[in-house]
Amino acid sequence: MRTHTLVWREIFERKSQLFTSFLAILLGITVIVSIKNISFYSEKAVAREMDSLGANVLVLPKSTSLQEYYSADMHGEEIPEEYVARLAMSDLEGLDNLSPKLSMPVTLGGKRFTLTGILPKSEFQAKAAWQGAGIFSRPAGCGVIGTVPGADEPPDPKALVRKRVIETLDSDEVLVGADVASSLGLREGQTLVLSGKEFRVTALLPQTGTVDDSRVFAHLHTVQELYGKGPVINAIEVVGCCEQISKGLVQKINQLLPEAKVVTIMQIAEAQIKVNQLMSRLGTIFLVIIVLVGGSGIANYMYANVFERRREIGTLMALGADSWFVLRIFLLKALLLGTVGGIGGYVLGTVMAVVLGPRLAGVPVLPMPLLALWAVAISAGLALAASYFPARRAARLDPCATFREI
Amino acid sequence: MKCPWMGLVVFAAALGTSDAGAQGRSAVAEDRGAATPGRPATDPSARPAAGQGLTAMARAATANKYLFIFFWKEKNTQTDAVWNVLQPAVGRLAEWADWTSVRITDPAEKPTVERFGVDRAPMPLVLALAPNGAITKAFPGKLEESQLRAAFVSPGTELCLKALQDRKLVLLCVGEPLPQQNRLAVPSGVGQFKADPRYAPVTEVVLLDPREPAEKGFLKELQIDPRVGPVTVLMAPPGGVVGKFPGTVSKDQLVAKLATSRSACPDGKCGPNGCGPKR
Repeated sequence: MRTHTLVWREIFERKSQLFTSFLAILLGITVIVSIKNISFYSEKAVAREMDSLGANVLVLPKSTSLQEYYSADMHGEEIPEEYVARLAMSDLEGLDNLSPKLSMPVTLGGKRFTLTGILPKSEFQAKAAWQGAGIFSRPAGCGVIGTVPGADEPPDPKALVRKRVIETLDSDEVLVGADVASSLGLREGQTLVLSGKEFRVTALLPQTGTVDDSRVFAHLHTVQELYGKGPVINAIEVVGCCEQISKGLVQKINQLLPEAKVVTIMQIAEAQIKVNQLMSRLGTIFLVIIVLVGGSGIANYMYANVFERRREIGTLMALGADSWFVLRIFLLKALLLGTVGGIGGYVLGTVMAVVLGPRLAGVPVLPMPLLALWAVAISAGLALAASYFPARRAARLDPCATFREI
Repeated sequence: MKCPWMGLVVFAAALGTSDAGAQGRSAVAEDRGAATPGRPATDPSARPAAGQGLTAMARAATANKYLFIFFWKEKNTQTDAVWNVLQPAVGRLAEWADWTSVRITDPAEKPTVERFGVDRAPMPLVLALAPNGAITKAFPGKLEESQLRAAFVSPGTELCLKALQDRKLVLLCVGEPLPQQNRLAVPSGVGQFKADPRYAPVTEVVLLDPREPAEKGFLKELQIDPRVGPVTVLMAPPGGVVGKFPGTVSKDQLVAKLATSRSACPDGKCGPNGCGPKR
């Protein structure tokens, strides 16, 4: 009888114990892979948001938590749109751009997307010059220069993804995120019906890897009409100048808008990083649990197996099998158990991450092949380590002693 | 070089203080609107078709007076508080300023509301309008009498503000008149910039004599010492100084400065690390 046949038969000797040991490994690896996968994409999203956002201050409703940043404009809480005018008309230095947003869910082609209302800069920019002669004493640089129609190149609407603001946008125009466009096969110039209103697709936005890919952007006032709650917004993204932020711009905005929560993106990033760290720690805790529970389960299963099958082991050795052969049978069995558990855990964990990631962390999650190696290595290593001592015990059995016992 | 834009030359009146603009203006008879928070209009048909706002603006401009427009939505304590400050304060400045009241929900006032885009602004709101139509100050939510005086600005400031609010570039040329011509002249580089078809429709040239007492405050705001000779100041909307050019300035310098101010982060600290935009 060949080694692999012996291993195969050995595996199915105690099915119920095999199943529970396998389940422990499988579930443990599933949870770890899932957490690692979501954490990775969440951290990546934070970095990408920081890199591409440009905005560095957010004005949110008081009740919104920092952890809700990724759904900051989908939390259902509102602040009055007049906050935009208050900011634009204020004498605060260092406000480079303002981007108010209002979001609502819409269904397109049977799929759910987000319709986000944005306010073109041309509709509030002029108010920044309503503070009289004081504006001339502001230092040159960030936050003082806008665009001049005619003198500047015509604004590219696709710059929205980078600058967070758009110069002009008609009430029947929409800008479509990359995922929405590819999912619905949209092209520029096509018409689109959203919540019963017809829009013209002005531009398809480039892929950003952020939640913006699943959004359709329209004029804020049009979205407000569809939303039906009057002149409200969910958040204002503010691009503030570094120097002024360090001089307390956030506190000044807080004083101007005491009814709102004003936070920096850095605070949000820190909050998100804390969540990621928590998830990472959870992953470590699960790893310890799987080592303890899964390892002891496998060791117990193997010890019991060796004890119950000592007659067969003794017979095998009496027939000429050496210790290394016996050791190899049990270790190969453990390796197989660990490898299958690792692969199964990776597959289940990845499916969980891809399905639950967007709901839990608000970020799109993709499979990570590297985690498969990691999962198999952990799982197989654990199974081998837990089985080593029972296998060694089996390999050291004295055939005469085992026959005498029986 | 002859100045083709002499219409923009600032002949500042003898206006010395922050309310300089007010002191130099002649008074016209008061004729205030009826639709005030405490005294709503009882006969809408009696109002001008264009609404009180536009009518009052035209009247104030004709009389060379400032106009304080009181925008309000509903009568409440905040509206009353601002109203109670504005009415007597402007009354004391009647020689230089007028006021009108605009209820933003009044259909007749729609042209005024749309013109300033204040339908979603915080209410009550007081806007101070210079005779040339420039908004020289906005007071959202609350108002103190002492703040009103800051709304009066010099003629040079008015011109610059008006151009910026019309989303135009401003080239402010500060320099004394040439001895033989006795009038302010446009520097050649500025003239070439203004003559460029790309910039001509969106550029306003303002000539300013630094000897005018009324403009001292404005020059101080701009941190320009009139003793150092001619200076050209490039401003861009919504309201910022892009650059100052002492002495002569060429068109290329102006174009380059304008491009630099937009093409990249001015202080080089913008971008990925969360501070300022990537332009």
